[in-house]
Amino acid sequence: MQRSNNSLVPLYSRKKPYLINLISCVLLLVLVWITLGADFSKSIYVNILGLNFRQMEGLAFIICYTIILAVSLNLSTGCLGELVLGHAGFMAIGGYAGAIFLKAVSSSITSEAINNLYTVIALLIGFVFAGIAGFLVGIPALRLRGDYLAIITLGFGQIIVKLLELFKFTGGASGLTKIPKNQNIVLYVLIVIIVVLIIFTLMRSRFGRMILAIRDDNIASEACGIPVTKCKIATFALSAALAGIGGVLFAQYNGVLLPSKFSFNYSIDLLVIVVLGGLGSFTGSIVSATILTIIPESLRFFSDYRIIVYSVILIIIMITRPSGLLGRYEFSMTRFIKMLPKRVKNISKKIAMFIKGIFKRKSSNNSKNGGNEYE
Amino acid sequence: MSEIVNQIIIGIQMGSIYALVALGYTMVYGIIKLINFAHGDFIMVACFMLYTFIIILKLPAILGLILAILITIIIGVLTERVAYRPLRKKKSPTITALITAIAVSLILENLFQLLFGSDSKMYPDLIKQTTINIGKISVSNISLITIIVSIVTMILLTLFIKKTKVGKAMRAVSENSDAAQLMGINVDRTISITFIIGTFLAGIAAIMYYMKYLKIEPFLGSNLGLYAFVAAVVGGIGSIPGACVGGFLIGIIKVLPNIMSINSSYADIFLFGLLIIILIFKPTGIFGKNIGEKV
Repeated sequence: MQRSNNSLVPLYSRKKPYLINLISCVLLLVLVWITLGADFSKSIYVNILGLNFRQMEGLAFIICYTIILAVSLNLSTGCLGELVLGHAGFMAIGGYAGAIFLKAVSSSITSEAINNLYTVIALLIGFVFAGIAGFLVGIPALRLRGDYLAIITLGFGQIIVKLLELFKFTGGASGLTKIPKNQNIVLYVLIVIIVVLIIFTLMRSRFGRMILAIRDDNIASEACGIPVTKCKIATFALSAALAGIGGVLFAQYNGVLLPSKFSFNYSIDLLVIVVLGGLGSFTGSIVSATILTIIPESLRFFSDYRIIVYSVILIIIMITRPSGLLGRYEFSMTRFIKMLPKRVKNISKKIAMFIKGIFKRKSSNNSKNGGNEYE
Repeated sequence: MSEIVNQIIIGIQMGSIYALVALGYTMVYGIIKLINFAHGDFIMVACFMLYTFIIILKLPAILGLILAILITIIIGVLTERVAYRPLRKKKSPTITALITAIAVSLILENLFQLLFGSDSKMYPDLIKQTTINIGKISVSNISLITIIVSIVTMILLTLFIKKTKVGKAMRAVSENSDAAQLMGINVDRTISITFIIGTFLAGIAAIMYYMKYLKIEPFLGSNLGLYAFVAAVVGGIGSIPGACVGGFLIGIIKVLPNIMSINSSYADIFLFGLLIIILIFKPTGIFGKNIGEKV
């Protein structure tokens, strides 16, 4: 049995990491605000990867909600070890619930601040509705063995899409349109940070260790007194609820919700992101969500072959490195900073050695030359 | 009344296709405990091979059928060799194998989309369609052929598994592969044979599909596979009679909205609703307990 990853156990003093993480989050927000959010950012913008400012901005939004979806899927698939094939269904429930609320209050949106407030309320509504759906699906599904959960979630995803196409209040197959948009990138990034924070703190807690224990050995953890079914259902419902948040952000960015978007294929796209990043590694999910969103956008010619290449990569990874690229590795700012002086020292030492080496060679050359002169 | 009977006959015809596909799922699951998500796509491959040989290359129909089934079998066995066997050798967890199976399915779908384009291909009848009228009930000859061929296939399959030595080996491997190996059964070969039979059944199902719908597209496998898979689970995955019963059941559920004259989208809701209810109350499916029949 594998030992639980070190990064999930607090290594350093208690208060310092919080401060460091807080500062880095604030720095990230400021960075996002400068590069994408502020009015003057267009003028300082430089062309990266052949994308213009609008494309970059759009990508940033897509990355934000993809990260939320990937991280929440990772909670149930990576940490809990249950394959979920209907994550897009939970996203759809959250998105539609939030969007219906937003449409109802759309006439009273008069300023940016009210819009942001409504966004937050919509997020909570999406969170609650998707969470309830996750809970209801989880109760029967999680009592069963692994394969069946995959099937039930798959069936659930299909039913949701069909129901959304049938109901009047969801706009039928043509979807919900004219959802009030909110394109405030700083808010999006803030929500991403909060979601990631929730999951990180959860996985470092006693509850998180219980989840990891259940994944590693179901029976042994039950024997140790862990309420397996309760833990599983709670995790699954939380994962679904967070997917609902992703759905609301999706709705608010696009302004339109189509049932066909939430098909099986989208669930698979999310699964690919999670598996590539590493089952159980949130850092991996974030990195691969970012990369797998940028690559198809910047390499248009690649889009025809995208899924084939993804699938081949997926099979190769599954055969050679089944836990995904990053495994269970987590990036830690605290550790990074703690290691930084050492690394800088090491590097500077190496540079010093290198320079010394050059000088030595020179001096030895000189002495040789000198010696030759004497002879 | 006669309308209802006609619809039910169509349902049974669709059901026999689902049953043939479900048999492939159930056999593979029974022997290596893997939900082979790519199984539906083997049918798509077989359909496109039929199209290539009969319509594009204009080969005689019989030769086309044989070649198409052969190529499908080769692809199925190749999939097992390249993708599933390395995982089995490493004793990977279920989730890894499932993800690999999904990846194989995506590769096949998108490869055929690249090769043939994503538009659906239309073609003329393979054999001339006639309708047989019995009173007010009308049955097309294709429905009859489909139902008869699939029932015969199922009976032959059951006999094969019960009576032959290879069938016995398959049952042994599905029961306990380590013990089977100790008894001198070549497990890898038995699994390959299971894949051959599974893809052969997929090939037959593909011929039925090809005759019924007269239209194919690269993503037909995912839907067909999903329904057949539901059939296998409802009937009890791993059980052969279960797959047959499940297939016919799903076929009839598919025509229920037509009988009740409501929106046909309800079919999917009934279907997955039934799946979830069955999984809640009897997770092993209708015939799940029948371990003796497990393959």
